[in-house]
Amino acid sequence: MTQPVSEILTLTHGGWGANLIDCLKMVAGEIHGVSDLALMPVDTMGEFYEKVKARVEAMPAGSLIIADFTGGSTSNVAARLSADFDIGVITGLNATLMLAALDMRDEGRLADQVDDLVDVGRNSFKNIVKSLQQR
Amino acid sequence: MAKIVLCRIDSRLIHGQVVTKWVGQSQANRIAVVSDELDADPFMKNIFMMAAPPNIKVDCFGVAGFCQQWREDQLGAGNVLVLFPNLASVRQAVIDGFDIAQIQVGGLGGGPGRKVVFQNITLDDADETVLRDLQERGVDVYFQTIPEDKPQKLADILKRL
Repeated sequence: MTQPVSEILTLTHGGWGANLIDCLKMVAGEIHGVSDLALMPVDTMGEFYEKVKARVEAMPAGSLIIADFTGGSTSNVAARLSADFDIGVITGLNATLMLAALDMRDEGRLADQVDDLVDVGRNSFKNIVKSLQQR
Repeated sequence: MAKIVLCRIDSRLIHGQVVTKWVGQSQANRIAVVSDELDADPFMKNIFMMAAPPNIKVDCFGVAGFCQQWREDQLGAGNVLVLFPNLASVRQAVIDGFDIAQIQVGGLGGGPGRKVVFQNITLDDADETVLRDLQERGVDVYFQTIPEDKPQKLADILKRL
């Protein structure tokens, strides 16, 4: 029996994740099963929690939430939902991380690969000028 | 006796604006969250403790527990950023002896029947009653979401209702 492919939900301040997803089509081609939910300034924690919960309920088990930064309401709400749903949560959304997550869906449930994704995220930052000088 | 470097009302408690802006701006090395609801929810409490920047000690209190601690030793030592989720809990704390001179209103959430008074800060009738009460008690209340905003005096805010 094959399990359903993990989906990816980004939670971003003001909804910039939607832009990221859209623009990554330039590198990744058509992107399916990936969506963004915007945290808007007027949202209360409760409202935002309910919105995210409704979205997570419709996602296959083992899916992944990527919140934009640690300590924001986006990561706080995702953390809260992890108590009740079979999902992985990672913070620190960026293009490299998203592209890796898209690829890693083929390997299986993203929720089981969060530590690997954290490594990808860490390694995505590089002092390019310094790296060049050391060559 | 701790130094209260900032006392803020923010329905989101420890979140983006607080973590990235106010902790640094106020030079706090501790955060005290005062919320009966959070105090009764150990899992959520853990999440907020994790949300704080490293090197910042977080304590969570119910309103009664906070006031008791305040009366005992003014929260001990350090530079404390005190966070309340709403006006009602602040008012209760002030009545119970939290003699704070200045309170910043940063965010009260949204909802039907609430009027926008500054940026994304909204007030309803119950909030107005509490604000006038705090004003009469001599507490200096101002509205400011992020440090880049010009602080708004309560008297000016009340004129917009």
